[in-house]
Amino acid sequence: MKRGRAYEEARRLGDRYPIQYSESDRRVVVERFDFPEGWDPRFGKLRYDLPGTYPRDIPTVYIPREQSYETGKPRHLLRGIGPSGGDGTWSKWCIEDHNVTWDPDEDTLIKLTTMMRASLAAPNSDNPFAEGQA
Amino acid sequence: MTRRLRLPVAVVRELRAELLREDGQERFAFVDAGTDDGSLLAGRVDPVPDEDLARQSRTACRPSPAVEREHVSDCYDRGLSPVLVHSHPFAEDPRFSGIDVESMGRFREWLTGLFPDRTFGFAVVGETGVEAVVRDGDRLASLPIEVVGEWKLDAPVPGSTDRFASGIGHDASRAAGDASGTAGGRADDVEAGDASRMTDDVGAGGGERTLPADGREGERIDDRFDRNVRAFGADGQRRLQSATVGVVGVGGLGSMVAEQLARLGVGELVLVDPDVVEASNLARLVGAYDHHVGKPKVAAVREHCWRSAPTDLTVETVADRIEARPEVLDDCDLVVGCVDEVRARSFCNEYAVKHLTYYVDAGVRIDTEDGRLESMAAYVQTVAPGATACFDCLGRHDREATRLERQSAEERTRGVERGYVDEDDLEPEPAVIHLNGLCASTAVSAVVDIATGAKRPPEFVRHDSIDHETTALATEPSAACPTCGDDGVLGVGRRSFGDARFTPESADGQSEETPSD
Repeated sequence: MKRGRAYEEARRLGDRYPIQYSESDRRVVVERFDFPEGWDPRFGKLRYDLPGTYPRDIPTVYIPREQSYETGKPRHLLRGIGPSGGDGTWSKWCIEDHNVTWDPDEDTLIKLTTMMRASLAAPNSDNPFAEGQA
Repeated sequence: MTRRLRLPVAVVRELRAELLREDGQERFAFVDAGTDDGSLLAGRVDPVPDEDLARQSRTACRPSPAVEREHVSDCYDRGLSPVLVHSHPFAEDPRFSGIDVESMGRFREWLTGLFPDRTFGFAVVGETGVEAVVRDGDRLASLPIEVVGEWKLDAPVPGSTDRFASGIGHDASRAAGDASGTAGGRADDVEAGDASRMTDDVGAGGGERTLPADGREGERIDDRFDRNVRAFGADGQRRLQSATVGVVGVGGLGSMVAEQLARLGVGELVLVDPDVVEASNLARLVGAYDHHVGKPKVAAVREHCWRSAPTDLTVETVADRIEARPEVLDDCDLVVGCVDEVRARSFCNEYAVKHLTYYVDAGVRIDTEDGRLESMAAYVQTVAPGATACFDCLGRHDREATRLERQSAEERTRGVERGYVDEDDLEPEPAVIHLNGLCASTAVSAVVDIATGAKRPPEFVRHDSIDHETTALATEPSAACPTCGDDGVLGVGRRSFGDARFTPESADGQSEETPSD
């Protein structure tokens, strides 16, 4: 435990992506995230809103409202639902639809970003983390 | 609240185990402490290995300057304050020696030169006792010791005080010694050093009187509390009167807790609840009547508490979620969580762990199947951070429940439509007043035990109201707990690092980290 767990995780995520960390808003924004094949635009932001109970609970994830997928609105995207008090530029991505087993001892914002890559790569799958497995 | 060095039992145990060994050598450890209104909140212990000590004998020890510099700097970087602890293995209840006082004075000058605005402290531990001082401007002020959850220690710390004591400590002789201007009982030791650097904030500025244990002197106790006094003594009653208790959630359960605390003579209540009274609450919410419907629950319960205990009761009300106003708990000696949302209970638990505040978590659960009663139970858990298990140590955080709690009404509706939320999960939970009453009384019993010290508080109680069986368990904190464990937030207090931007390594291979606030 150094400068708080979320701060340290955001710093580590910053080894790969430009990161904005807001302590007061409990928010982490991943800038220039490389969206998987099928998404347009291919680079955009991810927004993680950290619950007051983080790391015991998984953050709420949003993607930019302008992001679109080639086959239409994905199953786990909730257009029209954004952060409270937001400016309408975000849409909620229901990462928790995947029945994620979030383990506060092991899981981090880095793991969440990996999960988001898998989820966005199979945006209509209920279990994208098993895609391609035997 | 008088400033103190608050030591969780786990920290006392670790200091004793690491610094007091059979070879009789003095040893050294850093304790990283959060700060809270002048008090130091001990969290993590970092013992200095013998090989990193520049000097070690049966009468002296000191880490190498490089070890000191590195740890102190790292501690400040993490928003904490270092307490430099060494042992006097030869002493039962130790005092700083003249040599200690001299070297602490030199260290104070050195460190305040490097970090002019930072807090730090020193402590010495013996077989059972602990003495501590804290930087106070250009002096070192003596710091009373409070052991959080002291009932869990095999050998209590002599002279320690607690936040409910109507006097400054159980050991009046130490307070008297402090008031004379010395660091401890052995004035010759201090005079051998630089006593002018030592000040005392206990006898002179602490503002608390030492009362005899039988409490026969001091303020008169209202006749209405006569039967209480016969149960747990005048001192116990005064401890309740001096207590500030936060009650988070004043629905069917919390309203009963608040009423009982008011009638017991607790001096100040802080009631927190964002909800207004609804007609469906009236079957359980004590003190609420038809005319309260539509009004804040905290207002209805405050009115009832004042009617229940009209003398000397202060009630602060906060009609908001606790997550939005955690600072209202800062002056509370103890917090009782009576909320139905898991996330609010987890939040209260984490607040308690960070601030080393006692937390009593109370809840009920009724399960039905096809209209038939399956189970009916009341739970009460006492959290003495670093002494007992916390809410998360026992794995009581329910992620599925918090997932739903965090969703807006529209999200839940769409979740049902999309097939990701079970409509049954959105129905109100069953609730009955008699189970609430049982739970409230058990929770209040824990509060009274902690505040009065009359008996050992229950650590975890489950009452099965189907079979009428009560199970009581002792608990221990878990090192793996994400909240109070080794990588958790025990004693960190309220820290702020501001906002930041992080960017991947630039072309020259340097990672950038830029505060952006």
